Amino acid sequence: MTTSNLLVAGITTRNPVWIQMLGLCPLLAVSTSVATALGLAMASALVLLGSNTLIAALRRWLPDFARLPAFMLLIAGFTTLAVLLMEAWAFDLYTRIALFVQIIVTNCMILGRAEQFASRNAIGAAVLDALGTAIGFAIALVALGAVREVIGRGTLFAGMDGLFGASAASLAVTVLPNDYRLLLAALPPGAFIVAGLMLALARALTARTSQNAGSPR
Amino acid sequence: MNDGLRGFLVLALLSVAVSALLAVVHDATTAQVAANRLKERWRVAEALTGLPTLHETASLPLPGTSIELPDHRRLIAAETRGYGGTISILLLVDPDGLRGLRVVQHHETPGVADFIALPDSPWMQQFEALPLIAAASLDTVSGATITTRALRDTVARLAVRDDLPRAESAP
Repeated sequence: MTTSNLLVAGITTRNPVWIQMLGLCPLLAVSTSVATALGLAMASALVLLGSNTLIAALRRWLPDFARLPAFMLLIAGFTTLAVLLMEAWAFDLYTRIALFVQIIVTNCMILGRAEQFASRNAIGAAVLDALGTAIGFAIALVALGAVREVIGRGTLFAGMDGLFGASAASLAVTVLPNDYRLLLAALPPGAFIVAGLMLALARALTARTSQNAGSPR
Repeated sequence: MNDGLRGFLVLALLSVAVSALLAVVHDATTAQVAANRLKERWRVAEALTGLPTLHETASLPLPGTSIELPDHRRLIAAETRGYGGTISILLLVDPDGLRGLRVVQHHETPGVADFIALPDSPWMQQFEALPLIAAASLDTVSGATITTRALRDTVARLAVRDDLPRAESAP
């Protein structure tokens, strides 16, 4: 695959959420608003990039039996790093989504990329693959977060100051009247319904565009 | 070098490197995290007492101590052991009894902790106006027994201390 293909594949034909259906647990739990979704997406991107890069760099020195322990060590290390950074510089967000940042360590999307791609390819390709996957995950997460935030609470980009500092508070937009709330969309059942509709849409689009519907991997 | 030795060495070096990185980052963030927690304590204390400028005139009570507020009210800090570790709480009392209870920090199971961590949970609402002596007779929440019992017993223990205001009789 060419370099640009690697990047785009992670977003489209190999999108971790819409096509591979990986990482759904944190996706459903954290996508109540754009701010929380973006927080998890950034933490996942850090872990994905760090672990993919190092695993690709170490791949020649790792015998088969040491592969999985090394993957887990690196992924756990980067996840802890993300949690520490978030606790220090995005404390409000940390108190809300820390649990789901911590379980990035068990996210099969990240272990999947390490095993399927990074451990068999050069560093450059592994970085691009991680970037593509991270962007694909972020787009799916933020899209779901945006829909649920608008339907559930009538706002968009509320609470971004927890992520980017006080100046980002002005990003908040009130889309629907102030007293509007549809609790269903903000609660877990809403996550399943909206995510299901999005998956259906993604399936419909891929079925139309790829006539040679082979393996999504 | 055979595979076994090489794998062992790579894993060992990797462990050392990851631990070192985390130790450095932990050290670098400790001060900031402590500052964040203190700010959070102040936010809770000021919301509980309704005094938004409290931090300009007072210092936060240490666990097991209290500070005097206007109108004969007192802010008490306490710590107790819950299911997952220390639960840190703030209580607001006046001569009639308890006026509010807030959990500042806890390590309880996510979800289960909602019974105590959300100030508007029905179980926490009971503490909004409660003669201190009545706290001991509150029911715990099944499914969150250890968590809620820790909180109830702490309040009940404070009720028998002489330097705290006590109601004449239970309702």
